[in-house]
Amino acid sequence: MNEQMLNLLYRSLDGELSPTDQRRLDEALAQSDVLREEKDRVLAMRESLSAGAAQSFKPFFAERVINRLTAESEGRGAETFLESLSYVFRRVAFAGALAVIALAIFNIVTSDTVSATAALGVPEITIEEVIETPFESVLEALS
Amino acid sequence: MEREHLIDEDLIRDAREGDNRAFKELVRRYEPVVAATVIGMLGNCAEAEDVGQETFIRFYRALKNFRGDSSVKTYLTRIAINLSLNEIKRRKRKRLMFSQKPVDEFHDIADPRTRTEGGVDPEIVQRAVQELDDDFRSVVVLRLIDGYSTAETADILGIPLGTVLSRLSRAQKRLREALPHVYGG
Repeated sequence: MNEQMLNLLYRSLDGELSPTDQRRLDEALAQSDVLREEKDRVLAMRESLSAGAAQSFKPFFAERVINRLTAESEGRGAETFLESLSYVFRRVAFAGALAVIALAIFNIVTSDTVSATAALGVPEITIEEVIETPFESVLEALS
Repeated sequence: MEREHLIDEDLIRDAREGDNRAFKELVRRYEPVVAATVIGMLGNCAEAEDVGQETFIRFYRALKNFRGDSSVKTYLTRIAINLSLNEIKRRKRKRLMFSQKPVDEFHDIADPRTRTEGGVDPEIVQRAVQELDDDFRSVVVLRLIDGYSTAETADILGIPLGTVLSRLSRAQKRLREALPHVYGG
């Protein structure tokens, strides 16, 4: 079969051929049984392609799409809440840090020494004092 | 209100305002279009259902920006074909990663038993379409299965009309070669 005519045949089914090409194809079709048969086969193939096209997914497809949309929007609602919580937390944490720094500066300014203990505003105390003081207090309370 | 009688623009307006039933009607209305495209591209498989759902989810998210420059059908088809092509790429990557071979070999398609008395088994033709290269498959699906014109096919795929015509011509030749017993020759 003439490859050029075969190409013209395929193209004729999807696009308009120029008048010259159309005439050449018509003449070839009139003369060639093989080309006519090929045309019939291609047309049959095209018909079965369009006839065999799927028309739907599994039943209740629309319901599944809506369920997925609903689930996604609920998920987004939870995400929005967490994002808001994170936003508030960052601001509270920043304000808290500022307050601690301000308090430390105040403690240092109002005390005589510059030390971590002064900044924290707690009296100097040894570990023994920490351990002994409550015990003595208990003894005093018992006596 | 009976939503089946509403035109697309009204359904889109209602869906934008959060009416899920209006959107559900749009899904029902355009399921055949999306199914034909996605199943044509991917075959009838679980991934096709996922891509079909994702097509409508993307459409829903884009509703606010949908201006109606193209019809809902064309818009959905464009999303469906792009998502299907992405899925095909994903499959190829997976095949490469795990050195998997395609499930169906080409020679299986050309089984003489596929020509039945009642006509041609559509599943066999569908399998032959699945074996085409992505570029050929997309034009075959849009032009020959979905029934878009060659100009619309070119527009949806964003390729020149001449490319659509040459791909269609070559794709049909390949299909004929793959199905010699089905269509004779």
